[in-house]
Amino acid sequence: MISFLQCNPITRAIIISLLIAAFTGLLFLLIIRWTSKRRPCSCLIPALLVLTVGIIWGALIDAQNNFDLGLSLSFIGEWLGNLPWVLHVLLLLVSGIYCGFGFWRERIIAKREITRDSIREALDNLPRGLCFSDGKGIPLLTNRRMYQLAEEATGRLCRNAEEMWQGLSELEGQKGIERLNKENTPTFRWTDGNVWQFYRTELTLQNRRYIQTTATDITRLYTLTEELEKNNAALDKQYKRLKNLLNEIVQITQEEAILASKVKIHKELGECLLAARRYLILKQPEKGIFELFQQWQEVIRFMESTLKEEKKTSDYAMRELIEAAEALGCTIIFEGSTQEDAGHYPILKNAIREAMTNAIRHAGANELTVHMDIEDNTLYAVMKDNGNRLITSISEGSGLSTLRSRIEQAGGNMEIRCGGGVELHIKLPVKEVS
Amino acid sequence: MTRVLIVDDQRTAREVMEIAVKQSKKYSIVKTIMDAGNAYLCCMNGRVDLILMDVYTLDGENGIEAAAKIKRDFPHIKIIIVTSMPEESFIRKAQEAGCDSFWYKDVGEEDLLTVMDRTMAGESVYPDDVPVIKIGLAKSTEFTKRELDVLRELVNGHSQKDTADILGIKYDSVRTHLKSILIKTGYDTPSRFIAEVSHKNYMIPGFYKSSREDEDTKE
Repeated sequence: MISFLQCNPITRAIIISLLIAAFTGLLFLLIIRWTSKRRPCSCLIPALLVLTVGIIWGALIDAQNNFDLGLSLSFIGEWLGNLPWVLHVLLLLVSGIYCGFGFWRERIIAKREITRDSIREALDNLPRGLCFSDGKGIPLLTNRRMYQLAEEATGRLCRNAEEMWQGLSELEGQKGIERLNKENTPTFRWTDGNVWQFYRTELTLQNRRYIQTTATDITRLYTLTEELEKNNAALDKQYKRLKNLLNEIVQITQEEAILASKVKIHKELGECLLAARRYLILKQPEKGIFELFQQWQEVIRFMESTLKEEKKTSDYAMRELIEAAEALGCTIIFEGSTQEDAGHYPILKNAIREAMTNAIRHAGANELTVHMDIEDNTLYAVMKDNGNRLITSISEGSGLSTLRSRIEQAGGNMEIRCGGGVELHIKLPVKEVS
Repeated sequence: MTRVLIVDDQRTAREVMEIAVKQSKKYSIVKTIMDAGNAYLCCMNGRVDLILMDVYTLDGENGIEAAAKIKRDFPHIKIIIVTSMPEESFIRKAQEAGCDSFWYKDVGEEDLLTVMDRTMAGESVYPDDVPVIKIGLAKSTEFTKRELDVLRELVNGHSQKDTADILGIKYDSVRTHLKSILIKTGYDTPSRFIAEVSHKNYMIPGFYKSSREDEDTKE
């Protein structure tokens, strides 16, 4: 195999130039590794390589000089010059590959590494505004967006986070910036129509207090909230309307029934009249006189019952109650300055019924006094029986407890007093009747 | 002679029942009243054997609740619930209240006297199912139990959000149920549908407390 010195001059020149290039590359790699303060081990291989390549380079120059210019040759130069040229090329290849790989790794590491600059760059690219400051308001890290927003809002460059927050909190709106809420998270509509919300939180890190101020673009959220509120208001309205409608439905059905009975009266009365007319004038009786008579009686009875029903229904229920009580030998006596139900007719009816049931069942009473007064927009009703059995306490069954909850729902209260007959005291606010 | 108390606030229905009872030799009418709340008082003198009880009576008094109270204190009195409303919960509620029989005024397959006879003989006569009515494009049998729960709260005038709270389910579930109901019935808004439901007496607003309140009372 031919040695280095046996190669032609061009090959020798190329090998030496490449050795110079490899030396420079390895030197650079060594400097980079050394300055990035990494473990000294990672500098060891490049340092050794630099040394090796450097020595070989020097020795080969020496050999070359001897060969070309006939200068005296060192021992190492002679030895290296007589080595096969392939070995030199191999060394070159190894250094070249190591150098390339080393640079490639350094680049990747530099990219991955989090440095002050990379944090700042990342924060500046964040769409929201962010500012970290210490307890006194001295900013430690503020991103570009925050600077920009604070300057636009307060009109000056903010050098202190505390000052900036004060400025934002007191800002009522200026230069097309509109304040949207008064709470401690100032929200503004910006000149470009976007909505920004500012808030801050306290952080404790290694026993030191930091303050984080954040500005968030909540345009979409705000628009949606506004829309939602509008929709809710509309829905509320609809529900109210529906509720009213539902309340009226029972009424309407009743009215329909009344109308139907009126139509029936009209029809049957008409039929009777026609039949009577036939009988009297034409003397062509379809029916016998008794049948006709019966028909008339039916119509009259029917009319009577219908007429009765057209009275206020509440009168009916109360009358029924009184009748039922009388059938059991108990009289209801109404007393007091008023007979008005103050808009609480169903509750009062239930209360009287409850008092009545208990008076008859437990106290053996034959009289129930209902005393009602209205004072200062409040209805006071007292139901007292004349029972002869001594009742010292009453445990509330389902009837009384239902009554109590209904009264309390209507904004009143109920009290039971025992001793000398049971008394049921009810207080209810007078309801405005529309 | 069986003594009958009739409780109904509709004149026509009352007359129908009165005539039916009068026709029979086995029954006599003790009294006819319009307010279910007063039925208990009428039973206290011990002269009632059978009650024909309407569900929705004068002033919105609930016949089934009154029946439950009577059954509790006077278990020997037989009670037949009569109604013309196809409200879905009535049969179940009547059974829970311990009523003996149930008769639909308009669509009852058997006539009233037969039901009365069978009830007095100790039988419990209940229709197999609620009469099917049509709401929009759907039949009343097409709704699921949960849909009916949601519907009940909406008919009672609660908002969708309140409904979710009352039933203890998610707001989204309420919306899903409602959507499914609307798809079945073909109505475009809940309000129209709810108005139809209450107009057809399938559910009566405010007549029953919501299920959770029911549980509260039981406790």
